[in-house]
Amino acid sequence: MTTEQQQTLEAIQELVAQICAIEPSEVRAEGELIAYGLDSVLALDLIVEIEHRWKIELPEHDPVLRSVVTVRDLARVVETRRGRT
Amino acid sequence: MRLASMESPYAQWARPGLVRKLAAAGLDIEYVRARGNYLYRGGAGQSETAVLDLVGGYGAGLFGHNHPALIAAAKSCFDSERPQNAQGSVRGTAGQLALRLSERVGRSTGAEYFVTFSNSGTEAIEAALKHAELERQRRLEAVARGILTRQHEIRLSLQAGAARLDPSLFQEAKRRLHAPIHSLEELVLQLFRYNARTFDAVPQLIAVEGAFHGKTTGSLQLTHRDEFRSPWRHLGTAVTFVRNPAEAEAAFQAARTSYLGLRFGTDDRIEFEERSFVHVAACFVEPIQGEGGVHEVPAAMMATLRRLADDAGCPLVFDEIQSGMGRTGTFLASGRAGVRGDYYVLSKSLGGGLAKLAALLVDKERYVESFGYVHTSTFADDDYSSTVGLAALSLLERDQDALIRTCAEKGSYLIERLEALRARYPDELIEIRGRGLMVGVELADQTDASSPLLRLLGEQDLLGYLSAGWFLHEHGIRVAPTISAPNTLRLEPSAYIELAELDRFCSALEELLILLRNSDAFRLIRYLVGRAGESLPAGRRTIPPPPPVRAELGQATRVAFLSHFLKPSDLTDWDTCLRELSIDECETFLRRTRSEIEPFVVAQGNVSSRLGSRAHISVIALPFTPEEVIRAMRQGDAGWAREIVESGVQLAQRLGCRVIGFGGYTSIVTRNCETIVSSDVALTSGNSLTAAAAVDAMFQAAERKGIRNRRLGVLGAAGNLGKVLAEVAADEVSQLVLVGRPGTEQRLLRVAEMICADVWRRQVEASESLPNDRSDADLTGIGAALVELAGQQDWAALSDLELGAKLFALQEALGPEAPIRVSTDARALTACNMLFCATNSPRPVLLAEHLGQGEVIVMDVAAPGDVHPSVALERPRATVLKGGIVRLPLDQHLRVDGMNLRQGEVYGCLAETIMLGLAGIGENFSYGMLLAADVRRARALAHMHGFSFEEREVS
Repeated sequence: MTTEQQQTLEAIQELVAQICAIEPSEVRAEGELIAYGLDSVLALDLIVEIEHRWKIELPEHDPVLRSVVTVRDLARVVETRRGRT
Repeated sequence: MRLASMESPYAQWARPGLVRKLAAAGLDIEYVRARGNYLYRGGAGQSETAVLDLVGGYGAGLFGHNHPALIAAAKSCFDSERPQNAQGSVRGTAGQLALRLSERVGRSTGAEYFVTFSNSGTEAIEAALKHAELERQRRLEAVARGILTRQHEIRLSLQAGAARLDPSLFQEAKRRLHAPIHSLEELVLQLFRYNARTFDAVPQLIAVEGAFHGKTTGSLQLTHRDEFRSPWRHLGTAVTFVRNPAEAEAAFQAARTSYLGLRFGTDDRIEFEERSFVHVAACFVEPIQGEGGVHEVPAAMMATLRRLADDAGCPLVFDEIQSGMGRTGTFLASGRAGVRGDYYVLSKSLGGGLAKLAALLVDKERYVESFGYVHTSTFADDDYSSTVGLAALSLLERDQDALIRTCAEKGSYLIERLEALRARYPDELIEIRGRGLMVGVELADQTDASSPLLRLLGEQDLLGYLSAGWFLHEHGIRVAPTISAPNTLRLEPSAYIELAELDRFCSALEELLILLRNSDAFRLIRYLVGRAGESLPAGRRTIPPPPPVRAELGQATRVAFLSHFLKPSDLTDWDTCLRELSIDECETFLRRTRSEIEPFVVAQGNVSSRLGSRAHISVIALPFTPEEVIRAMRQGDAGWAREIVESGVQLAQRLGCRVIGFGGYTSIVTRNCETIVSSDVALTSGNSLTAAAAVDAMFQAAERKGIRNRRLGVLGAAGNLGKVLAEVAADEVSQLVLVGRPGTEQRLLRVAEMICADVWRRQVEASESLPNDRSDADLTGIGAALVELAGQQDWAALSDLELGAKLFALQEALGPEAPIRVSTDARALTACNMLFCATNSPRPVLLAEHLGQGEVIVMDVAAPGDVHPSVALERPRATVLKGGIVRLPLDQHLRVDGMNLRQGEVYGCLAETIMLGLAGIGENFSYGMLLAADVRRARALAHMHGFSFEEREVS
């Protein structure tokens, strides 16, 4: 994993913690988003934040989001959308 | 929190699965020292605790631990610098041991043997398999040679005119061989082709049902237990397992193929000769099955196998790995049946408990000399093992086999005492089996125990296992169940065991039997929560209700519902025998045993519809709690939970269920069933009826409280459940307030617009289908208000998005009186008299200040709950309801121990599962996202089949 990928992952872990009101240390890369209380509402908040921060498009019904289960999955999607995997 | 043993290097780097299994029964103990009949736990700063060892290394410990004479022999071997690595030379000590073994076994059989040494019993079985196959090939070669020799003789005789080929021979040849034949050479060629099926046939092996001969790829084919064998069945030769003499006859017969040759007949004519060959390479028998549950193979069976092996010309192999070396009171257990084997396999105690040593003895008359060259092993024939083996034999034979006689005497004493116990506890102690110091004690399987946990342990073959933990922790005695008969405890103590030590075991066993008789599950498992040995006042036990009567299936659709304990203390509600356990102890117990307890049927029953159809429901409990699942999902380690759910699905399918409902966290962990791969069953999360039940109960309560002008608030309206509740209820309220947390404004707006479009369309449809003489005054709710506002606008052709946006904007102009409002401030709810709480917040978010002072009904469908305690204190006119409870049709009741519900009540998700069975719905329902359309459909179906919805106040 490159430094940039690592940074994206960490930023997403922080975002998840912020949105779900939990400690960042509790958010593991392999943790399942749903387990932090990330239901459809919070997921939307998270997407809005991500779109804003990384200047990418991530429509709520984008099929790629269906394959997102863990925090790391989401970080990978962000990396892909930014054009560097 | 993980178990300490799971952090050990052995679990981390060697055998995680085994340690987890051991931990489930409290057997995850490290022993640090061993001597005589005892193993010692602890050490390293702690004081040592002695444990009386009756497992005896699964039979390897005949001489006890670290016997001084054997240690001395081992030491002398090292001190005198005996060569350990001198492969490919003449191995003197191995030769001496071979001689001693041949003599010892020959004493009862009269034969002499060549001995092949190896490192373990299973390797010796492999050697037996290989040698037996070599023998079979020799037998086949002899047959082929006989045919060729005869053909050669015939040719010579024909040339000399001493024999003749009759035309009838060729006619018969055509019939038998299906080919036109005109000469001897053609006949010989066709015979060769015909006989190929015999000469190319694969070897067959025969073993006895319940057999255990090892776990390497060859020997495990002879091991009966499916779990050990089945995954590797393609790696070896298939084995026929036989139960009795008749099956043995049939198995040998099935392995017979015929072949054709020629011979001199009458009048110098050449004729056909038909003979047969039995392809059984070997027949394996343990005279007393050890792992199989300590079963002695009857003498009649042994005699039949001997006769069949003789007929076939194949060797009869006696696996005396456990039963040999005098353990059963004679050097060989097979001697007693008066049947001689061709091969004998010894191991276990042959190495004196110090050396890894096994020996295959092959009757010299059968031995194929090349075997000693083609079958070798680096570590076989070494001086160390051979020296210890010789010392062990000497120890055994000292004073005219004194030790073997001791085994017989002590064994008789033990069996006598156990039989006396069996006479007193016939319902708990089923059978005592074995001979000498190889004894099996079979416990009853607890099918009729009043404790649900005991019934479960029996059903899932865990009773012997947990009993072993109980003996260890409550009495410092080490016993083990047999692998293939897990309710049987196997006792294989050392020959030096004291009678007092056997008495000690018998007293402990009696305690266990009393405990089982009383269905005292708590005393059986308390050691798992660190309460072994605690003295308890008598008479504090709670007797649970008798086991539920299994429902007759009859003409019913089978459905299953997967559930789990919601909290650790539900364990004691399920089995009241466990009342003594604290909440923490319940959690510890569940955590320890989780990996070993399979999903199980906790309740079964029939439910009839008001319309006459019937469903047979099996409620399947899965051994986990929500807290564990969430923790695992957060760590990205929830695979085990998904596996448990999948095995629950498999159980349901084995029960023939057509519909499977996923209760509680079983749907969360499978993402509302989406991770389940299954084609022939209908899956449901049961969320639709749960939502419908919440909506219905809300309206019932409103009716009861006389609330007319319904102003409904939805807290958490941007979430899936909140949104759907709002959508479904929208038809029947006059105002809707959608509230979400800050940041969800856009989302709330979209939900509101969508509801606007949806109710407007359905209102228009409804009014069009009304008879002309009725007016719009009959229409109520938000839909009616919107239709009125929109007036004669023809918006039907607009897209939902456009329509919703227009309608929402139109009504928003009404300000506080607008039919639908959105807000991110919960104080917007103060004017509501009905309220759904459906947020995902881990903490209560509905405070007293968010409610008005008037009559208000709050339906809290969030888990964990959304309603703060201040509501009850400061808003006396607020009625807080718990949602999701459904009443079965026709006053029927389903007893589910551990689900705390009143007569006739079930959870909505369970009710939905039953309802789908009653309605004969065969496709997935409530699968993935919750949809308002499904909720409406579930609600309609439920009413149709006679379900009703309960309102339950939160106390």
